[in-house]
Formats: sequence, structure tokens, C-alpha cells
Amino acid sequence: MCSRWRQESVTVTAIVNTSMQIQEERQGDVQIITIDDHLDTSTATLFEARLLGMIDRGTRRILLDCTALSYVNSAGLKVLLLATKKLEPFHGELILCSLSQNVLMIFEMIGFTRIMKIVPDRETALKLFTQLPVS
Amino acid sequence: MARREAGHFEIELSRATKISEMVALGLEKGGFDTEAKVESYLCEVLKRNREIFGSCLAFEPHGFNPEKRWYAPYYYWKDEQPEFVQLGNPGYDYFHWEWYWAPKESGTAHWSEPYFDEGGGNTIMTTYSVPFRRDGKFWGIATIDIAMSQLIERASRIQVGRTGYAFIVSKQGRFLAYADKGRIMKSSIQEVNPELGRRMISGEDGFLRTQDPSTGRDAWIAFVPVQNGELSLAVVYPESELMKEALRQQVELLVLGISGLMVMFAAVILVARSISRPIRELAIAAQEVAAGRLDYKLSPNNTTVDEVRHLTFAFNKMTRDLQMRMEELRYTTTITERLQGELSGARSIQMSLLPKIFPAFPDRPEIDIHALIRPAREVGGDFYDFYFVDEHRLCLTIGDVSGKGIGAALFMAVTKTLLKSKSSAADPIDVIMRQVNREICQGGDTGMFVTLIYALLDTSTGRLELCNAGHLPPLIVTGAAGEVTPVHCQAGIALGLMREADYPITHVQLAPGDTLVFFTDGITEALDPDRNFYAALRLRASIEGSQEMPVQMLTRNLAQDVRNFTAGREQADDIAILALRWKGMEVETQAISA
Repeated sequence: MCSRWRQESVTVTAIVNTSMQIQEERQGDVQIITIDDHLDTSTATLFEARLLGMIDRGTRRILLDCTALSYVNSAGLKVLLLATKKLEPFHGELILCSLSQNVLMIFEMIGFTRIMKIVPDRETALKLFTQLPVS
Repeated sequence: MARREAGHFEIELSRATKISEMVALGLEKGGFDTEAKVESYLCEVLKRNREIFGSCLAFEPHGFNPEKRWYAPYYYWKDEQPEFVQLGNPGYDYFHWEWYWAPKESGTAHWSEPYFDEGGGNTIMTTYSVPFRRDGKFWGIATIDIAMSQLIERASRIQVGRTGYAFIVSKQGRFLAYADKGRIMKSSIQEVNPELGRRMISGEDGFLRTQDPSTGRDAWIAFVPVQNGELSLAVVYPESELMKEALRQQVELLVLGISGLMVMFAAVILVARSISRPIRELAIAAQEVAAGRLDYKLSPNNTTVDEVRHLTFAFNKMTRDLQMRMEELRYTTTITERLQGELSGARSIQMSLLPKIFPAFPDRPEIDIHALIRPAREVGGDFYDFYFVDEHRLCLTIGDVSGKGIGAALFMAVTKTLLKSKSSAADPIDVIMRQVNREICQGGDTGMFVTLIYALLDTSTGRLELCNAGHLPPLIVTGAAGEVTPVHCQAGIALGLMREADYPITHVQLAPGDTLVFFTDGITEALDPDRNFYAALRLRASIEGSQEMPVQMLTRNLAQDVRNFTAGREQADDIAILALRWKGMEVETQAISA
């Protein structure tokens, strides 16, 4: 199922609005999404459409690189929660990496660190994916 | 017409003239040395030319036969047979006759004045005489007699209009062909109409308005010379008839013209109508449509003009589209209005869920409480609640549902109702939280979760127990300086994230006069135009030193400060603030003792 996606990385950039950019790139069967700036009420709707659309099209391994993400609120967290729940029946995985201190604080406060796989960097995340059973 | 007729006569006469010229030429060439030869030649000429009546060769005295003074053999037709007669004799000394001496004198051919021949022809005749020579010397005259009966008959047959006619006069003006047969050869044109006569005889051709020579009426007469003016042919056209004819033609022209004009006019009207009628209908239709009758339809079959038909089609399409758009708009407006109505209904329901009457507990002097909520949209996901679960214990809740709008509002209503229904004086608050979380987690994978603080304050002791489900910890304004400190509480996970989660209880002892400030992240995460957060620091600064301030002023000031900070930027998130001041039991005691 994933063989179709085992190709060289492809980068697609979409400018959502001034406060967020979503970049997609593929590494093996892992879809890497890079988001920046604010994941809040104004950007959550589009991010939700992209992320959930990806899962609907069969993507099961998603790495969300949050290096450049400076803020997330409950609307953005809702999208992450929704994606996680959507992947569960397929044994898919959403891993977050490189969270800034500020974002990590929010995650911790709300308890998202307890329900989401959060790793320090990409390498760790990709290694983690290889250790997971192939879906 | 006169000229055409004259042409006919010319041709006929000139044929005859050729004959006599031929005969004369024949004689001049010689070879006719005996009388017998001359006579037989003459006879031959006559036989070959049936149209001539007679032919004569008249020689000079002793010219042919020195013994004979007269020698003039003459052949003519009599009873269809050539008859011979010797003209010259003492009784008919032809040398003195005009037909002989006139051409002799002039040396050229000569036409005789027409005459009535009683000898053989009994008809009007004219004689054409041509001189002939021998050795350059005049020798005699060759003549041809031509019966003019045919010419005359032809002339008399000429019909001009209804009463018009033609006539021929000789060089001397005598009538040869005339309407009044009795005047032929007896009367001349000069006698009847001198002016016409003079002009005709002089060999002119012309056109004259004068009196009809036979009737005396006004007439137009055209005349033309025939055979070098030997004859003159005139065509008489009575003026009355001419005028009548002209009038008739005029009337005909007029009738033709008028009827033509009428036909043209009718055609123009027809064409104009076939174009203008549909356009008129279009104009009417346009007015109808402008008046709002969008179902007005035009029949495209009313016209044969393509452009107008296209216009009609376009018009019908336009009204159809317009009608469709209007209906769409009406429908959309209806939906929008209904949604708007439903939203405002939802808003009032949501607001009615929240306690909004302040002071909330007028009979509880130990506490002052105030709360306000500002949803970013009509309905929101933030909420607060407070109620006494028993005589002394006040339950306080502030929460924030992920997302906004109707979904968040429903989720908030569910959460708030669950919390209130589970609240009891008997159960510890962490148990209540676990139960509520489990209930919410059963809700499925909507991705909804709620962060909240559930607190229980014993108003008699100032002891506060609270459970934090991923929410921002409350602040306490305390001491004489109104110092702001956050409540350091153990954080639990937001409700709805994980089915089996624990919510440890944090215990806080309030001092009398302490003010608890609960809030949602709509405050700290409000953005100014430069996209800076309002942030916890500014929040603390805002409420610092407000220990004496009435709580409702505290909440309102805080909300206003946030609004000032965002400076007109659209409110991104819901805002909820709940402030509670515990005045301590002494106040209660004082109130009671008082």
C-alpha cells in the first residue's frame, strides 16, 4: 500500500496565510509536514483539511516538524488529536518533533505530552518510525 | 413615324429609278442599232420588272433613225400583257412635254408631277425620266412609269392614333394620298393650309402645330420629304387625341406611380412592423421585467428577422437567469437568516446556561463573585459556572472547549451539564472529574476536548480544593499590596483526551480578602496588531493592586485592557473571566452580629 509512496522526496509548499506555512515532503513512507508560526484558530481549519486529507488518501506515517512553530492553541491541538484518533484504527502514527519550549509548555499544560508521541528531533522521529511495525 | 413611312416610300421609288438608269446606261453602251433590238430590249425590261407600269425610250428628233422625227417606243402593261405603242406622232410632239425637256435641260434625272393616267393604267402615276447620251451628246430620255396606287394605298392605310392619318403631297402640293379621296389630284395643300403647304413643298422636314387640313381642328403635323423632295409625307395627329393620349399616359403613369408607391409603402410598413413589433414587445417585456415580473416570456417565433430573434432568445435567457439568481438569493438569504436566527437562539440558550445575575449571592457577604464571557463569535466554547453544593461550599468552574462555534458550544453545554449533575457534596472532586472525563471520552473521535478548572471553596474556612484539567492556573490577588501569584496546581490532562486519567487535587488556603481570578487563554493569547501576545505577565500587571477593587470592576477592567491591547483586531478567541473574593468569616460574623 505504501510502495507507491516510497519515492524520492517531493516538496509541496502551500502558503495558508501570513501566519503559517505548510510544507510537505516525503521520506520513504513517512510524510513529513513542517509548519511554522502559529497553529491557532485562524490556521487550524486549513491545517486540518491538509492533515486529515492526507490520512484519507492513505498516508499512515506522519511526522510533524514543529521547529518553526511558535504557538499552538486548543483549536490547533484539536486537529492533532483528531488526526491521532483517525490513525488509531489503521495502526498509523503521528509523531511530533522539535517542539519549541513555548509550544511544549502548552502541550504539557493541557496534557498532550501524555497522549502524543513527541520526540526532540527528526532523526529520532525517523528512527522511531523504522522501529514501528509496518502498517 | 413620318420618317419611317417616308423611308418605305424611298426604298420603293428608288428601286424604280434604278431601272430607268439601267436602261439609259444600256443604251449608252450601244449595240442597239435597229428598232427591233431597242423594242425587244424595252419589252424585256418591262417583263423583268413587274412593279413598273411602263417604260419608254424617247429619242431626239431624227436621233435614232434620221428618217424619223419621232421615235419613242413605249411598252406598258395592259391586261397582264406587255403592250407596245409608238408615242411620237405629229399629234404628240413629245419634245415639248415636261417629262422630256426637263431632264434634257437639267441633264439629270427628273420626277414628273404625278398625274392621272387615263390611257392604260387608269391610276395616278409618276414618271421618272433619265437622260442618256451617245458620243457625249444628248440622245434621248429613258422613262419609267410607276403607278402610285400602291404608295397611296399604303399611305392611306397609315393609322395614327384613332383619328389621325397620313397624307402625301406632290412637289407642287397636290394631294396624292389624302383622307378626302375627292381631293386627290384636284386640290393642293397650299389651298388648305398655306403655311404647311409652303414648308412641305420646300422639301423641309419638320413638326408643326397647325390646323388639320381636312377637319380644321388643331393638330400636330409631322412632315418629311420623300425622294429628294419630289413628294412630302405628312402625319397628322389630332391634338385632342394627342392630349388625350398624353393625358391617358399621364393618368396611367400616375396610377402606376401611386399604386407602386402604395405597394412599396405597404411593403415598408410590413417589413418595419415585422421588425418593430417584436422590438416593441421586447420593450414591453423589459418594462414588465423591470416591474418584477421575471416570469414574463417572449415567443421567439414572432419574427423572421434573425437579429431580433437572437435578441428575444437573449432576453428570455436573461430573465430566466435573473429569475434563477433571484431565487437562489432568496433561498440563500432565507437560509442565512434562518442560520442567523438559530445562531442567536443558540447564543441566548448558551448565555442562559451561564449564571449572569450579579451580585450572585447577595445573602453571602463573605464572598464577592463576578464573571463575564465574550465569545469571539455568536457562540463559543468558553464557559464558567458557580453554585453552592451545600451550605458553605461553593463550586467554581471555568473551561475552554477546543475550537469555537456551534460544535464547541454544544460540547461546552454537555461538559457544563455533566459537571453540574455529577457535583455533590459527598464525592471528592477528583472522582467527579474522572467520571466526567470518562463520559466525555465516550463521545467518540470528534477531536473535542476541554480544559477546565473545577474548584470547591469552603466559604466558611477559605479552603480551596481544585482540579486542573489542562487549564491555565488561576491567579490570586493577595495581601495589602495586591500581589499577584499563580496557584501552583498539579496539572491533569484535558478532559476528553484520555479515558483513564487522574486529576490530582490541589489544596489552597485563602486569606481573607484574597481574590481568585480564573481566566481562559483568550486573555493571555490575545494578539496585538504586531502579533504580540497579551501574555501572563501583562495579565498579572493588569490585576495587580486590585485587592480593594470591586470584583465586577476587576473583570471589566481586565476585559477592557485586553480589548485595548488588540486595538481593533478581530477577537481571535473566546474570553472568560471569573473573579472571586473571599472576605473571610469575620465579615460574615460581622454581618450576622450587625
